[in-house]
Amino acid sequence: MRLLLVEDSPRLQKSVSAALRRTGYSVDVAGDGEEGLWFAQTHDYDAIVLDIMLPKLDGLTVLRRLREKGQSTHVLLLTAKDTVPDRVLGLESGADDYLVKPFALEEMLARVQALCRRAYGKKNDVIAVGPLTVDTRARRALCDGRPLELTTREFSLLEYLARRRGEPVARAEIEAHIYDENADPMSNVVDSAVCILRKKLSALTATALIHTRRGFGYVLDDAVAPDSPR
Amino acid sequence: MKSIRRQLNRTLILAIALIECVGLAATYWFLRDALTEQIDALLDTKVEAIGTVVAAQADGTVQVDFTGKFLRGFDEDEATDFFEIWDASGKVIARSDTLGHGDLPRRVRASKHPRHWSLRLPNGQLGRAAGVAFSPRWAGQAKADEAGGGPAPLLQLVVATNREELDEMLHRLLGIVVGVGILILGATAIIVPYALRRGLVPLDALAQQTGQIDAGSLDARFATEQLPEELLPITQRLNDLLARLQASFERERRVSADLAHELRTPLAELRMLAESALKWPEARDGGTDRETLAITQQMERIVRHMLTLARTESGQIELHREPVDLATLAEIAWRPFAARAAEKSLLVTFDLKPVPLVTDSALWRGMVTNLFDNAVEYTPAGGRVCIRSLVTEKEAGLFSVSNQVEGLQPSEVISFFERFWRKEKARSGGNHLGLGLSLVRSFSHALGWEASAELSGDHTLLTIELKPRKDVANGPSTRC
Repeated sequence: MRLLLVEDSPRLQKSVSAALRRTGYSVDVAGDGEEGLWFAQTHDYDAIVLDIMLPKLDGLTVLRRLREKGQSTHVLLLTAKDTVPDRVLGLESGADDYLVKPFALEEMLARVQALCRRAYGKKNDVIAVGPLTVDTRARRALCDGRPLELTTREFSLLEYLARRRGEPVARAEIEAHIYDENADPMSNVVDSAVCILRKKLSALTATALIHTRRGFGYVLDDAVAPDSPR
Repeated sequence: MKSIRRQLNRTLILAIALIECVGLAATYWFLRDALTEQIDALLDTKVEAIGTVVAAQADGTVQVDFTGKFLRGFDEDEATDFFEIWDASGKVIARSDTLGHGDLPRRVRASKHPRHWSLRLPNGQLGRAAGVAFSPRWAGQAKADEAGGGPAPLLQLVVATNREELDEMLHRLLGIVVGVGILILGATAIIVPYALRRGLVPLDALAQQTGQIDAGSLDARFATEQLPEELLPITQRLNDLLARLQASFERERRVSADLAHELRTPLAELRMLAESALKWPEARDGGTDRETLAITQQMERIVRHMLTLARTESGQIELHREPVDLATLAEIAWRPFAARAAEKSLLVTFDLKPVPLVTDSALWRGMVTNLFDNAVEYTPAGGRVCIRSLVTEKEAGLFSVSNQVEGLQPSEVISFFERFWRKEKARSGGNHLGLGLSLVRSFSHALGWEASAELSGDHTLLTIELKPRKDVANGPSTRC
């Protein structure tokens, strides 16, 4: 999952982005409203964590401009303003959630997780695909009841494919959602990651789960498509 | 607990009762004396009338030509009046038939005016008597001549009358007086509390309104339109007090809100660092601890500045006055900023004339340091800073710091001295809390000076000036 964090406090930028990355998200960071708006308009994020009081362009203006452009990325407002009118104004401006500083790390992660889940229309943290079970909350995957040992990025790839179960997912989409701005992925990074993931899955189950759709990308599904070679 | 109403009730009822008792008693005594005087006057008339029927003879005897029919009351039918006449030796010369076998007391004086007194009459009833010693007329001129032409020998006459009618009237009068007194007392006991209750209605309403005021309703004010004039000054003072309380509460609330708001971001930073370190202990390094320390120092600075502001504004700061030269103080205060100014290649000019003051040097250092800090921080690299001190023609001190600025608008000048005001509304700068100029204004006010800001030179030159306040009678508590 790829997130945008727009926060002007360097310390919060650093600690929040580090926490999100350790949880498995790819995170781009912007330090002011103008930069945040540019990132949000030029990249496809699963969710945006947006501070309200920002230099150059405040968070609510950024949010309104995004909504005016028809961008529906889920936004979590992060702010020191805690009054009811402030919260109402934030939500009315198009925010999906509101978190008042100081906040608990786990609560922030849970809210981001919920926004990402909503981005794919899922209400459950656990996604089951045949013998594969992906617990997006616990960041754990089981295959035929046995744990799948994955790196953070491998889990993010599996989670992204699982969230879009049955849909062909293009390499560019995977790049956009799994790798952040600084990662600068090589063109074959996605193919390599998918290959490793397939190997780990095949070690635990005989069911083919990741299928290649030529010209489209990859599909995670337990039903084997006859015209799709592994 | 003391009650004005109870005290007024008690005092008024007692005072009215006392006045009433004295008044009624005086009325009774006056009427009693008047009636008694009336009887005495009647007795005097009778004494005089009886005196006219007494005649002295040349042989020394006395002739009394009196019958019960002569005066009403002396006849045996009515028997209300009595008289008795004695000669100088006390021998009874004449007496009324109404006396029967009794006698009247012989109590007379040698005077034209009879003596009056009350007595018990021979018939046992109470009476009033008049006694006089007098010389009767001679029975004729020949008799007077025979006796040598001198006055007739003195006789003693006592006339008495029954006073039962008077006593009965006086008893009735006393009854009326007592009855009226009780009635007035009863009416007083009803009317006084009622009148007090009615009269104190505005005070009760005021007390009720006052009781409803708490910390959440300090914007309430007492209506003064229909108040009695006695309560008007109190109500106006109460309204003034409420206004001051409201301003004070609002200031406190604002301070609390500002403080809470300003602390939220560093608190969030601190919490994130702590929770991340707990969740991913392997990621913790020396940098985390340094960040934690920096955040706590920032929070400490915010709280310290806010407390200083609050203390200064509420007058709790103690001034330690001593002789200070502003020029010297500014030179010393600039030293810590010289390196930062050089790093930014700032062109700093000093125009410091001696300004001798007797003032609090610590507060002045605080003001000057804040002005220098802002100037160095916000002047663009290579920009100009001018620091000036002088004594004006009116012998007033003046200190100013001018520096080049970018992006400031004249409309923003009014906000410069507000707490937590920054050009950018984002409040996570860390180094600058937006309290520096608030402290400058607050300190200068405490010292009897005023701080002002002016944007000139096409909005590129900001000047913060400190000068003595005009409304301070003796200038800035200093001598320039």
